[in-house]
Amino acid sequence: MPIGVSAHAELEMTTPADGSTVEGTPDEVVATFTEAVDVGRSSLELRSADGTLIASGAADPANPLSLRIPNPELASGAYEVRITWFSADGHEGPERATFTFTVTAPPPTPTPPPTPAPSATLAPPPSPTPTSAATPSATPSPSAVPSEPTGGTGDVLIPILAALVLIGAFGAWLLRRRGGSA
Amino acid sequence: MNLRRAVRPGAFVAVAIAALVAPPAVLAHGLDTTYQSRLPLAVYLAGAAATVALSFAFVLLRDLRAAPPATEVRGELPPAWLRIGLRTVGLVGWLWIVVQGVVGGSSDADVGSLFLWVFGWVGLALVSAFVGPAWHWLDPFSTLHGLAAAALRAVGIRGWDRAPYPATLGRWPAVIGFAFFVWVELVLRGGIGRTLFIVVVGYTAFTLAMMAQFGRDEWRSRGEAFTVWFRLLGRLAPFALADETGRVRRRPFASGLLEGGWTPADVVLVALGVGSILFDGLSQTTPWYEVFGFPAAPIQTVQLVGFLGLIAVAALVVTRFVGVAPTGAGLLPIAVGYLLAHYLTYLLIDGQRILVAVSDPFQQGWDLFGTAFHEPSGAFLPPGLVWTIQLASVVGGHMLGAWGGHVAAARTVEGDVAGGAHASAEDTRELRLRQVPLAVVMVALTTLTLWSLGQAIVVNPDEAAGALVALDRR
Repeated sequence: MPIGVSAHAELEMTTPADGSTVEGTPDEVVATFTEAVDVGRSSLELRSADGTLIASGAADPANPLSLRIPNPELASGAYEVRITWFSADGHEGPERATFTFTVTAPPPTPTPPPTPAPSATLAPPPSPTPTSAATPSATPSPSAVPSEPTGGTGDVLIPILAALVLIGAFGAWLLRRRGGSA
Repeated sequence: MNLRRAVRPGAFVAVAIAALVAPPAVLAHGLDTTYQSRLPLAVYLAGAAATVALSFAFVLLRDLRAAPPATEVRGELPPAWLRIGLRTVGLVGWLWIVVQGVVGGSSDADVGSLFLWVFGWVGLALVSAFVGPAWHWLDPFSTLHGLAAAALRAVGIRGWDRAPYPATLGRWPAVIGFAFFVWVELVLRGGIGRTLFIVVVGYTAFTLAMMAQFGRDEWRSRGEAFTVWFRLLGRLAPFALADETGRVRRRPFASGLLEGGWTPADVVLVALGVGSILFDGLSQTTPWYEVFGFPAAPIQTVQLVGFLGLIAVAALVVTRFVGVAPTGAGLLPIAVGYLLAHYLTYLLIDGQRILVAVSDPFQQGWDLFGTAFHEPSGAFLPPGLVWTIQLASVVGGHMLGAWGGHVAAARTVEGDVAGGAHASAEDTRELRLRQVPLAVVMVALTTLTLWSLGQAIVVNPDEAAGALVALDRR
């Protein structure tokens, strides 16, 4: 599936990965794009599960391909990151995306510093929090398309019967109200 | 990010898709990119069977009659708050589109596509068909004309003499305007952002010029595409305009089908409406994709013109058999049924973009009310409910059309019999025969619609730049 068929910047990957669980606070929160973004107008917001703004990210001037929050120092809990970006080349946008991750307590035994979960391309597993149902608004597809029936004649028979009852009632009304046969 | 394509053959759709090779990355048509749960084969077959049965039942029914509602009722003006409210909403919507077009941007907050296609083309069409003439006041062109005229009068400019509207033009200018917007919808893919801004501003300028030339009411009722189309759909509605001042009268649902005033232009307009919805549905099916692929705009224009032309010619041929009014009365409810079946989910899902637009009204990346990250979702729509609505609206529209066409045809025959005497058996037999072409065309259209609703949807990745088009990033 092609990404970035158009010239404007697409979200390429996030750190931590969407839906991932991180042991201890992550080193940084990053959104990386396929093209340079307009650093002056693009934003990265880290929010707690209840929506409180915790930190805002900025672009590294040397690297306009990403927005970054260094050393966020996060307690255990669920977090949501809201990204708004404009492509650097023109007036396309804004585009929006969200991703979520969970921070757990670091292991009790002395270990090397916690590492962020490996970055991954955007392939969200089911989001852990209700608010994270929002995902890039550049893809206005339903966040959950109801699945096809996988069995059970009721799945199909009920719509047919319901529709036929509706139509029958409507037809009866039509015939009764507008005069019947002569 | 989390587009889930509906190529998940279940037990009941497996037969339908077994022969189809689902292309890897597909989907693109004007509207309705958001809900992709296909009508199962069994539902489609049941609908098609019911359709055929209903059509011929009505044709064979003996002498079904109904009187049209009284049209000389004076009616009453709706309350002032409603009229002013609707005018304000229409004007604000128009201004919003224009301001966004000036400041730029392209996102889910794009109100051009939201107001013109989601709330206008679909939402207002349904309101016009099921409630009443809301467009009469929402119409921003008319409001702008009124404001401009008031401003000119205030500075002492008296205006100029209106030209008489050429009677031979009838409502054909509206048909041409409608065809243009169908082309924008289906070939330009709704033309988001700047394109749509240019279309809206250009059409506004043209409409105001024509209103100045021929008079506002004259141009509205015959030349302005949206007004003519919504008023035609309004033949179903329980509230009808009594006159151009905005008086509204009540009448039984759908009885407006039997009122007079049908012209060949109306029939062609309805045919274009039916054809555009059908084309939108068909052109995104896998079989269509396998034959035509994703054609470039000129090729697709030719396809669209050919397809719409075919349906318009078929409708005009039918009028030669059964008359103009029965053909119009037969096809109009079909158009409304298809509109509901094809686009209701689009309205309910894509319409949620208003939350994004309100939080970021000028596409500047704002989040004024915390709703800018709302992603339109169809999760609240159970497929069974959607299928019920689709089947009931397509078959129900067909039934209403069969009734309307039949009653209008019977009235034509009665009109032919001198003095309104009861039609003879011979007349009745002839009447039935004359209705057969209409019934055949209607059955063909409805079967095709139900079939297209049951097909796998195809996406064109090259058109994924638009706000209406989904991009699967998996």
